[in-house]
Amino acid sequence: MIEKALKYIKSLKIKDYELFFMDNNSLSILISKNKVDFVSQGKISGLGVRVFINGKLGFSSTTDNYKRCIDTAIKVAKLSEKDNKFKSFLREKGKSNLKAYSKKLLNLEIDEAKDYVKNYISLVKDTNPKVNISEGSYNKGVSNISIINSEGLNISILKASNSSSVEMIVNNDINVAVGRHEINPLDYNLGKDDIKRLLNLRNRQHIETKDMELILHPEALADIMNNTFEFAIDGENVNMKKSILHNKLGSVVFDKKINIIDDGITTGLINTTPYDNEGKVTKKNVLVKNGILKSFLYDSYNAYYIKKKSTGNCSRGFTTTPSIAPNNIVINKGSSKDIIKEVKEGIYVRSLIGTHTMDSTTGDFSLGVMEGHYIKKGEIKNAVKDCMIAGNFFKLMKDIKAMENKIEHSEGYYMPKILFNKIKVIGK
Amino acid sequence: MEKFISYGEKKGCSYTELKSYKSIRNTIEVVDKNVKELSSSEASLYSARVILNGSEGLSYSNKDNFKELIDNAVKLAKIQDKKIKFNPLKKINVKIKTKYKINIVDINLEDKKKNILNLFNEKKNYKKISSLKFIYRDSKTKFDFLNSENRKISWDDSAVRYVAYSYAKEGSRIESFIDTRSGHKGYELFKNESDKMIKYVLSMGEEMLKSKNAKAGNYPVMVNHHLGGVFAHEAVGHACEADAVLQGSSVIKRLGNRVGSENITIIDDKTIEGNNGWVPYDDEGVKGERTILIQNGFLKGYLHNRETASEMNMNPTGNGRSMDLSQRAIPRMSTTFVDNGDSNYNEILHSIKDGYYLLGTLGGQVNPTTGEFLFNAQHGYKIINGELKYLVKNVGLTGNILKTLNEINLIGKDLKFNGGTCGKAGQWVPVSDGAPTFKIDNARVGGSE
Repeated sequence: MIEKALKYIKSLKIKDYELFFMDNNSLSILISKNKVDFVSQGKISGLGVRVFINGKLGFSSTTDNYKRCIDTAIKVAKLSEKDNKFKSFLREKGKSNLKAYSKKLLNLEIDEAKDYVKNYISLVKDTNPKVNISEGSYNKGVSNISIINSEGLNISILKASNSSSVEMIVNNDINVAVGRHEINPLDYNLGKDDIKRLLNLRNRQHIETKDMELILHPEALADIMNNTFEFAIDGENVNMKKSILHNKLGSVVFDKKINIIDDGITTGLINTTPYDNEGKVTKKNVLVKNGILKSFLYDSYNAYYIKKKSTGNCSRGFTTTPSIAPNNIVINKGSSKDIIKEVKEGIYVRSLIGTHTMDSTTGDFSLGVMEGHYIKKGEIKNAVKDCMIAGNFFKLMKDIKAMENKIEHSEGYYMPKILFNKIKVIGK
Repeated sequence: MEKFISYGEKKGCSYTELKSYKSIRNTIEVVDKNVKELSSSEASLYSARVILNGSEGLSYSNKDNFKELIDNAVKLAKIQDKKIKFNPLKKINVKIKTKYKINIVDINLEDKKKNILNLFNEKKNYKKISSLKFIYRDSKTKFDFLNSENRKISWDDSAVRYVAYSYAKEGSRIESFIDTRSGHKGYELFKNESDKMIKYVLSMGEEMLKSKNAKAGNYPVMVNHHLGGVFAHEAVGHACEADAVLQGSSVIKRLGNRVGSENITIIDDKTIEGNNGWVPYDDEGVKGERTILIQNGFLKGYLHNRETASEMNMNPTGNGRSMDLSQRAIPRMSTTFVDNGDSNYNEILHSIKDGYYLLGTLGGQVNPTTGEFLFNAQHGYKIINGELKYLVKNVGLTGNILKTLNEINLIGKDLKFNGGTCGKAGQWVPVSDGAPTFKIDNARVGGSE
């Protein structure tokens, strides 16, 4: 479709344009009560067109008719207002050879995906017959993106990833939710760890309301950062002065132990990609070095407006216009071998309830603990029941006691477990 | 689509379901009078769902090649282990049209844009507001449904949704406020309510600069229709979804059990026309009904799709919903609300010596298995001796479903609805919730003060 669209838009003598074509193939296998419950597969493809005419931007997308789509984008641009912030579509001469997929996953057939699911279910049942998988899913997606713009850009990106999510249950009242998302075929043997996690949640106890130390597992911390840090380092929010960090470049914002990189290029990381979704060659962006804020993330629109370069962080699909998103967020590891041993009295939080409800602007949160453990004198005593933690993300990150020496992955965040000096725990 | 139903039968399918979806949607996003996006887009999607020898498959594509879709769905059905059986439904032929006062296609995009820009004139009256963002979306959608039981449904839908964000700044402090409107309606939803909403978002943004953090602890809490609606939805609605009940992963178990105080009644009503959670027919072609979940403290009903209804030998309730044609229809809510009681705002307020009045919502989440829930109020007030004292912000509230349902005794009679979106199993669907003002006798409140 994109070649025909290009021919048509050139025939209309439109000077500034961008064509974004995306083709998605998805497979989904759902599990319910230890069985393969539902299988679906499909293909969605479409075109998104942006044009810039007389200082005005227009956008339209379609799954059917590229001519109507281009005509609509032009019509819409004429109806719009002058956009003084827009300088040009992405100017990028660079090319990248990076691969954003593993061949093994790309070629993984339905039958192999089904074997993964069945093996996982058997492993769970064989390891402990009392444990049941109440629900779960396996998803594989392959997408092919092509982008052409009037600044001479013409690239394509092939991506493949797979993910699984499982909820396991024991005694009908204790559950654990597990999620994995990788670019390599998933390993069902990890199911053993999932069962161990679930069984450790038996004997959940109430705890007292008080201030104590806090360990956040990467899963919980990624969930919090996704709703606060990502808002604060978003170049648009910085330009609009909506980010709490907007005037903090070069200042100490976090504990000096903290280094944070936005990494778009390291092979094997989930969001590694040769180009971002407007065609910028990706790179490593140092965001925080020794606690000092070094950079924000930009797409071309928000970067060009303040005379900077895009950092390679444009995110979009064919039905939407660009927005800013990190590639992979990587935080350095620390030196602690077993971070739990360093806690006098504290709570180890693996997962939280309601992180999407927190205040992105200020970083304030009060959240329910889904999976948490009470620690006394360096040892886990018991899992916790009905409790919440309250604090502020930006204050928390200034007061770090230790970081573990192992990096773990959760949804595009690669980081160690981190021990914070103080959190308010609300229990009994 | 008719001829392809017989193609499904020829392939040996005991059930074939074909759907088509075509939509045109407009988006206008304005940030501080700068039009960031003006767009008009169209999309189509087609799907085939079959049952073959008791196993199911779903296939979808942008291309309306139903033969290919059925062939692929048949292939997928062969992978599944489970046997599924539906209780049969009668043949029907219905056409639904969403009602509106002003057709969204009668107002051109340029006028829609101008009307939004006019709203921004109000901003100059609020000196501490540093940024105002407004996103408007409307859509016209045509759904067609046909299955091998000869159920034929078409729905000409019209929907409008808009959201405003204000950011207020004073010194190094930044606060924000958000409000939204949505519904299966026409342009009147914008015309009648956007003006009032903008003023509210601007003034509350400034107010938030004066707010304090709440003090954590266990308190009596009075909630308004927003937060009360989230309670009905998060704490009760999700636990009544029959798939969770069947998987053994809901704290709500047997019908007829006493689960809450005698004053509480909670309903999931699919028939409220125009509400964001209106479901005239669900995504499996089942008519949407009014389902009582809890009546005077007793568990009365579950929310079903066709499969869970058949498995429990009950009637489907019209709650089989999917995000789009590429997804499976699973039990989802529609308009879920706490029904009116016989108390009122003043009586409830005066009954609280030391507590909070919580309003607005930033959303919520529940773990149906343990019954633990969390929701966050956008703002609220500290109550001392029956009086509102000062503004608090971002107050989290947690509790356990079965405990909290027994701690709701004073319920007002000022029921109101709100539109929103609900996420489950990676699928987002439009819903509404609602409640009158009511009191939770003892709730865990989070705050960093």
